[in-house]
Amino acid sequence: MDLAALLAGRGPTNPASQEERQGLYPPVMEVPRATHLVTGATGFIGGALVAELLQRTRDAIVVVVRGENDAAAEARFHAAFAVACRAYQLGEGVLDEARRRCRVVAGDITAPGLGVERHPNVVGPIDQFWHSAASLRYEDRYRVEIRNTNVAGTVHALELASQLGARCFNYVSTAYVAGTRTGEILETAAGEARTNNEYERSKCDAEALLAAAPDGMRVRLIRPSVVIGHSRTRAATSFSGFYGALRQFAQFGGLLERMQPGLVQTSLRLGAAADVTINLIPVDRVAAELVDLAERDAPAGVYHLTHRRPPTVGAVVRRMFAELGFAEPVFSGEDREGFTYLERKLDQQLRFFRSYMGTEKLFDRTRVDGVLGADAAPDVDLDDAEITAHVRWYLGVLRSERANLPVAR
Amino acid sequence: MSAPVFIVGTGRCGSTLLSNAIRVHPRLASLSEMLTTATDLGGRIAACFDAGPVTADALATLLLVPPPKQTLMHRNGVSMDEVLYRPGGSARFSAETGVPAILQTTLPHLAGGPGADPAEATLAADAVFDEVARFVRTRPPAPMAAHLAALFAWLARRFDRSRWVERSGGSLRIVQRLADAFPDARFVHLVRDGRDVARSMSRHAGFKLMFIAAALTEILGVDPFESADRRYAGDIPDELAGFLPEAFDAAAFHAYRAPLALCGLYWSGEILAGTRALAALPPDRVLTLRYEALAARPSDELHRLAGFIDPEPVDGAWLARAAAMVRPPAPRPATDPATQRELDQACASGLAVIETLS
Repeated sequence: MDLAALLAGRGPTNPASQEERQGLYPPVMEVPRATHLVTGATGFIGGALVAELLQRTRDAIVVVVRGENDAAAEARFHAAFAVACRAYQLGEGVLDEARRRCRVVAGDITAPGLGVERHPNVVGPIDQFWHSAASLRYEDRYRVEIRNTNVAGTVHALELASQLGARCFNYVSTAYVAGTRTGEILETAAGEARTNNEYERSKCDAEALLAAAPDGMRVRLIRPSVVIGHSRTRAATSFSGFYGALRQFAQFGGLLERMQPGLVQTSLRLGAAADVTINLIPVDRVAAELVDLAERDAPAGVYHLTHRRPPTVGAVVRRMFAELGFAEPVFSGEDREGFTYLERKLDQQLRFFRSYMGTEKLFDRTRVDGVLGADAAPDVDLDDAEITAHVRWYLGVLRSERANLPVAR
Repeated sequence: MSAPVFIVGTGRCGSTLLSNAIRVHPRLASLSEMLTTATDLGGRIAACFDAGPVTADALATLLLVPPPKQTLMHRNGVSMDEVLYRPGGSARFSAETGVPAILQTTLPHLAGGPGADPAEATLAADAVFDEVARFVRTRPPAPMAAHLAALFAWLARRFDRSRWVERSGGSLRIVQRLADAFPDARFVHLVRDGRDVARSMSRHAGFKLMFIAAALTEILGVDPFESADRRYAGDIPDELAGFLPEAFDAAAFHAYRAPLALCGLYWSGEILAGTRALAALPPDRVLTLRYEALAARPSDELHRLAGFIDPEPVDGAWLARAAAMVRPPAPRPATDPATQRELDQACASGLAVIETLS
């Protein structure tokens, strides 16, 4: 099928039948009614989104991916997508669909119009523009990269969306643009929220920039919380957030073990509040709700893709410590008075995660649930067993990667 | 050749003094820092104790090829005091080429002789290097321990000594491996108050780099001096990013001080694990010396050392010469009370153990 045909037509997404979604028989070849453009498709949410679109619609998908040329970008996308499909046990059918329906073009988030404005395979109209490419870095030395990717990158994405006459611009932001606010967080503009770090600041600024979208372009600010692995396989393809914190605990434990065998059995105080919640959401749930919003032609505005019954920081950290073989921590909240060297060291190592483990944020989902209505799927229970399963999955990955670390003795 | 003798300690415990004393002994070959340099400050421990068979090429890589961490140190002018080789000038190796492990300290210490200045010792070591290289490159495949034992015996013969004594700073951490690899080895364990050790470690280039490398290794999931894999570079905190080999900031390294509490915890850990390994050996194969006693009564303690190593009667002239090398320890610098308290706590478990050593 030629690309012009793929890109022809517009309207809401084109749902596949229930049987097709279950893979009972291959989708019918027909001219798609809708076209999506996805940035960040080699990333965690972007990859899951493409998989969801391929399974639930017959739509065409233009994927803009980093690469020296289209061939390199295509290879990179399909390699990353194969990893995602394996992780989520999606089967060969989805990979075949990706090869058939995804048109991959080499682009650059830091370039005006993503560097694809005159690309022959990127022509409008686009129905759903999904901007999920982002830098998840947080250390100060990455400030320029964070700003270039998350802020300038969004400007460039909006330029391209405008040029292509995109009907909807779906910006994958973060629930944590709430910054330092506590309590109930509504699905409203972030405004002048004080942020905890450069990452949050960049996402806030990017959201604000989208006010400049052309009249008629529907802008959805979609804010997932902390995205974790697939609810069925627990596998993930990107390891920030929940995984970053777990990895930092593992790194800390590894260093202690190098310094003094058994030191991880020292009970440590942790500058975190055990009883506040940390909002975790499986990646498949995020992808499903992203497509739900598009399918239901959700109006412009803010949407929280968050868990309705999130676990507490205490539950999550205790499971992490237990699986790492650490002594159970003592949660000291904001009180760091008299911290020992090891406690200070741990606190310093977790400085990026501190703000997510110390204060309560209750994310309102009224707008999302209003759109999804009675069809909204129930949340997966994130009880101790489920958290343990996610922790174990990632520790397995880490341990296999670190099997050949040099010995200390 | 008689049973191997290793002098082990936590590092910064005064053991270099013992190597210097042994160097002037008429019958003993002093092999200084061979294991520290061959393991590249601990990064290559597994390779140095490979049960093999290890080929001559692999052995040469460890001994005759400049190792990455020590090369970085030479290139950035942050070498340890223990390194006797002076690269550049008329020396065979420059800071840019790096210096093979065996040339860093071991050969200059052996070949230079007690009175040699570092430049003379460097040239003397260079003159022996080709002979060593020939020996290494013609070794048949064997376990690393067999290679090392053969090399050490060859070096002793080359320098007209009847037995060898290897001493490497910080080798207590590999004492279990030494005991396993050299089943008849005898050990001199030099202990020193951990609080003094920690203060010294905190400022010592080798230990600073060792602590930094340990942290970077745990963060990156690879040894950054051996691997270019940087997939987890984003996890490196800003304060450590300047110590990656590709971005090494020599001024920041000079200014860096390893936290005293960390040094104290490390010292305690080494004492706990090392003394456990030594306690499993027959008592007549272990001699414990205390640095504080050595400083206070050098003749007595060096007499004990010589008697343990060499069955021949202790050479009086050697004893006098060696004892004269011992200098009183520098006074302890002032430490603020909170830091001192943390250091005391960090060293408590190790201090409790060395109290029990006879």
